[in-house]
Amino acid sequence: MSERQTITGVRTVAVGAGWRNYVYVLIDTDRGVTGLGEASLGGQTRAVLGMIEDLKPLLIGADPFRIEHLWQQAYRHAFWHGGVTFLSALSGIEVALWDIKGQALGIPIWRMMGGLVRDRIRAYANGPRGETPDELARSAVDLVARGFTALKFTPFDATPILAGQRSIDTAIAKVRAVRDAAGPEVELMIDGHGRLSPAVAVRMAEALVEFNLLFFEEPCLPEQVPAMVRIAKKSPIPIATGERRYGRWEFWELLAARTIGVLQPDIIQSGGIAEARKIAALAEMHFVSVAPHNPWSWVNTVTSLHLDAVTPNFLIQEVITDPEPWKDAVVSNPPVMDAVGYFAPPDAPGLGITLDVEAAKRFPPVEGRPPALWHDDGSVADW
Amino acid sequence: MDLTGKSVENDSTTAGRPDLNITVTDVIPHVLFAGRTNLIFVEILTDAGITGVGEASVEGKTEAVVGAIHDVKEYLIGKDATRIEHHWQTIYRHSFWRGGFVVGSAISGIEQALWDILGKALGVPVYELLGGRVRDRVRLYANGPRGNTPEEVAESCIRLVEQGWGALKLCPFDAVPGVAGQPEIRKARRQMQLIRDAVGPDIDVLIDCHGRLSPASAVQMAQALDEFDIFFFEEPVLPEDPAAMAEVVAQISIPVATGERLFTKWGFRDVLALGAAHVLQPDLAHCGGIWEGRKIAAAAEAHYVGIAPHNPYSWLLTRASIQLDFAIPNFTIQEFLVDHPPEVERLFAESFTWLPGGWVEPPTLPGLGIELDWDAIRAHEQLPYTRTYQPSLWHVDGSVADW
Repeated sequence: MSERQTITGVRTVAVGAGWRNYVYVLIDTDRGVTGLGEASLGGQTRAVLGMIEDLKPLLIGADPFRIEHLWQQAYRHAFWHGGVTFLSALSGIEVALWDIKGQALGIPIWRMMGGLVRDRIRAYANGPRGETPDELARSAVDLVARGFTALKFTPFDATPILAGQRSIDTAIAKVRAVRDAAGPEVELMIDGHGRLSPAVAVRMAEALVEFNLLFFEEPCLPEQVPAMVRIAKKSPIPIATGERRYGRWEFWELLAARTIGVLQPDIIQSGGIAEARKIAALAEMHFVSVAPHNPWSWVNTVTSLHLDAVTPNFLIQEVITDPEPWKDAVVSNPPVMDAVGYFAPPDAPGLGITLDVEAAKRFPPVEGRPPALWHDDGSVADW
Repeated sequence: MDLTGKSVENDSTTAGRPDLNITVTDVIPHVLFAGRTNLIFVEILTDAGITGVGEASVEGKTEAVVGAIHDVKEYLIGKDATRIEHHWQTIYRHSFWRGGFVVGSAISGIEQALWDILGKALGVPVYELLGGRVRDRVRLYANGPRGNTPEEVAESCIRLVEQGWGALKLCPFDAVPGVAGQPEIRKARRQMQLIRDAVGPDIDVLIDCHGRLSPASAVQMAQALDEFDIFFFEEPVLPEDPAAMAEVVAQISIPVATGERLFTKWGFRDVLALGAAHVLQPDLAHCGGIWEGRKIAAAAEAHYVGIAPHNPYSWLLTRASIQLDFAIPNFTIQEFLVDHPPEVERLFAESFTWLPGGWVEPPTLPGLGIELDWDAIRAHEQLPYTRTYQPSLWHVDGSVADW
């Protein structure tokens, strides 16, 4: 076995990425190994960086191989448990520790999680983009031409608690345009982004069922599980949720209701790859699929590919497809999707991707707020 | 566009580690007579020269488990030994007839052996592959007090405490009617009084009900034995009905443990959902193996439930269980059988040692952390083994009682 190592440093890098920042954690050891993890959380850059700073005393001098033990100390010795800011910071740290261990042993992370259960990993595009049906259709054609066999988009604007037929017709027009452009073989998913009330969500699902959608994500806000469950009972489209459920405890109630079709933990907001693996096991216990959420950079994408490679009940992996200049520039070896919409399991020791710290300096962090959505009367709508 | 998702069963990537290109060349079950029951070891040979071992012992069903191992042998030979989860999925889910303790035990022994191979190939104990070590030592309890009378059992407890044990498990019940009468209650109380008087207040005493009680008699007994400070009350009722177990939990004060007769993650789900136990006892030789135990432990962790792996088998399963114990935050205590016959102890290259109090230090050997004496095994497996092991318990009227 490789020599025991000790953590000597914890560094962070924030990269401006549009309105938000990518946040990275770099953990250095006394053997010259550096582990990388992503801790991005749109709109909370400083809070996450501060949280990583707060966790640093736990890490410096610690054995980086004791990943679960350090996770337990960070989470349970804290008294104030959980929350999305803390979990995002912890995830970046946890993934960096897996990266160190994999590099030290000379193996990809998936080898430490039971090995490959699939040969290739199907991706879906977080896209098409566009405001109008025509823009969406053109974007969908472009994505299919790039090899994507599955697309996800939000056909809803700010939607009142009880929406009229106009909202429904707008959504129908957008979904129809994308379906016509993409053709019948491509899987389409719609993302409610929590914008609909339970009553409207059910009407939308019924109105959109003719377009043969793979799943309907976050039709309503996820905080109140019974509302989501009620929608799932009535929706003819399978319901997916989970990107805003933080940690394993919040997933059980969803699973116990037996109506949710797909769980979407995000490795970053779950608390790390092992925590996401635990959530996937709970889902497996309930015959529920897992489609990891990932609107982040290539680093969390690669981390997710490790999880997907070892998870029997994996369904499909979200990836950001927009041709943004910072996306490829800040990493040294981004994963490449094949011509039919699949990624290969990562094939290098550890995480299998590295941050180009010098290149990252070209994209300084931005002061960003999430895009704001307003109702017609000027009141706040859920983005 | 190929959307069929048809697997080509290709080999894993081995970037930078060509030594991890390990192919299974043979799968050999070994049946070893051990007095109380037969031990079933699974030996997996590879083209890399690494041999993995696992334990699949299960009382009274030796031929079925050995047969189940042979049933999957053809599939495993020629396969990448490091795709552990994939082989589990293939064996379990492609079989159509899923589950049960026979397949559960066979797949568990195989799965442990594959982890043993991977750990040895990487030069690390298996716990390093499960997220690393979360504790410095693991506590064992003695499955051990024996005796034919309450006094003999109490004497046996004293001897175990003198040997350094700090936690003991026993069953103070014989056949108990559906509603316990005063003779059964008085007998159990007398047994526990003798033990508590003998060992003092600082020894943890665990009661294994072995599913012998009904919901009604379980509540009666738990109330009658409450004053003896019982660590946990194992399988107060049979495990088939988790709702009944949950009702017992709701009515008694002693923490309840269950799980040795539950298999795979699916078998434990309703127990957790119903709050039917404070401690789960997956047996890594039956539940599906180490990784399945890891999944069960994660689900238990989401419910603040502890894990105390069941293990009345050999030091091989003990070592496999200890790997998991060192890696899971919610580990509680590990079962250990104290009275293996000398000829069973000789199957291992080294004796199993523990520290006063029943503590075990972190494993250092790669893999499961145990070496077998193959000469002793090959000699011992020539001996006839028991084919009819079936301890039986009867009610006073001659009807069958649950053993």
